[in-house]
Amino acid sequence: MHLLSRTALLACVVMLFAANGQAALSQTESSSKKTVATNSLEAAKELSAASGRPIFAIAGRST
Amino acid sequence: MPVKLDVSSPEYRQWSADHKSEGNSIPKLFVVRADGETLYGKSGSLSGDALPSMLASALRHSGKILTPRDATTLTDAIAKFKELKESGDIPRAVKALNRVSKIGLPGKIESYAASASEVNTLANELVATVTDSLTELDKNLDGATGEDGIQIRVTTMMKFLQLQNDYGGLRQVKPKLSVFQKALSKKNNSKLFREAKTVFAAKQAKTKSAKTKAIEKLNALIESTENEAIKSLAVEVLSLLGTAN
Repeated sequence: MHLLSRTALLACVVMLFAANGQAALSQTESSSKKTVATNSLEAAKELSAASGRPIFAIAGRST
Repeated sequence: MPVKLDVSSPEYRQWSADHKSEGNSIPKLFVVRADGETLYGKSGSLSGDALPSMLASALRHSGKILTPRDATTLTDAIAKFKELKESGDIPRAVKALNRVSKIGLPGKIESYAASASEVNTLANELVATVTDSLTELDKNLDGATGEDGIQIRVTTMMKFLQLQNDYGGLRQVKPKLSVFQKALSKKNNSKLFREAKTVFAAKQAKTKSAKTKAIEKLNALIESTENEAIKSLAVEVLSLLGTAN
């Protein structure tokens, strides 16, 4: 299954994380949303380590 | 923190080595805690309630998520703590660490963020220092018999008072310090402990007025005490205070 076809799933994930009520504010929040459209694992790891948020990763084949 | 990974990329090879998963097909879903622990790693998409349920479970095991303000408070406290500890000012270093108490008790902050883990490590190291020191002091007290017994007790009391002064601000060690103090000052040691406290307090005097008061108290103690070990310690501190003036 290709990554681009998983957009809906990722959007759902973002909403769930945000709806959790524990989401960090402003800076961290906007940065994490940016990572949805990028493949920046290093940035995700840094933000995760700084905020304590878990990383949700979906691995697939890029087209 | 959503992120997509390309299974043909070098970074994914590293990722899959770091995070074990079940199955070989794609897509693979991972949930990785902030400290790098894999909470979920399986092949195949999740449908229906399975995905929200898995995410909710992962979040329950992910610890407290910090706001940017929390994160700044923690990193600032770590920097201040290290600076003060390096300069030898342990009481203020402990205070610096306590500034994070709104986020959680240092040593027991329930977050896997790197800064929270570091604060916990630093606080736990302090607790271990106090515990080890108290064990050592306890051994000293056990050996406080014979001719040198009183001298050993006085030295132990002074070391304990220093320990209490330095680390007493740390909530986790307060009960241990309190228990040791009770043991140290019980029965016929209570007068000796009061006198040791007077000498120790005088030693801590920093301002001119505090030093003047400390000198008065030390002179009174030298007059009244029947204990030679306390007397010689008081004379020593008195001479230091006199020099400082």
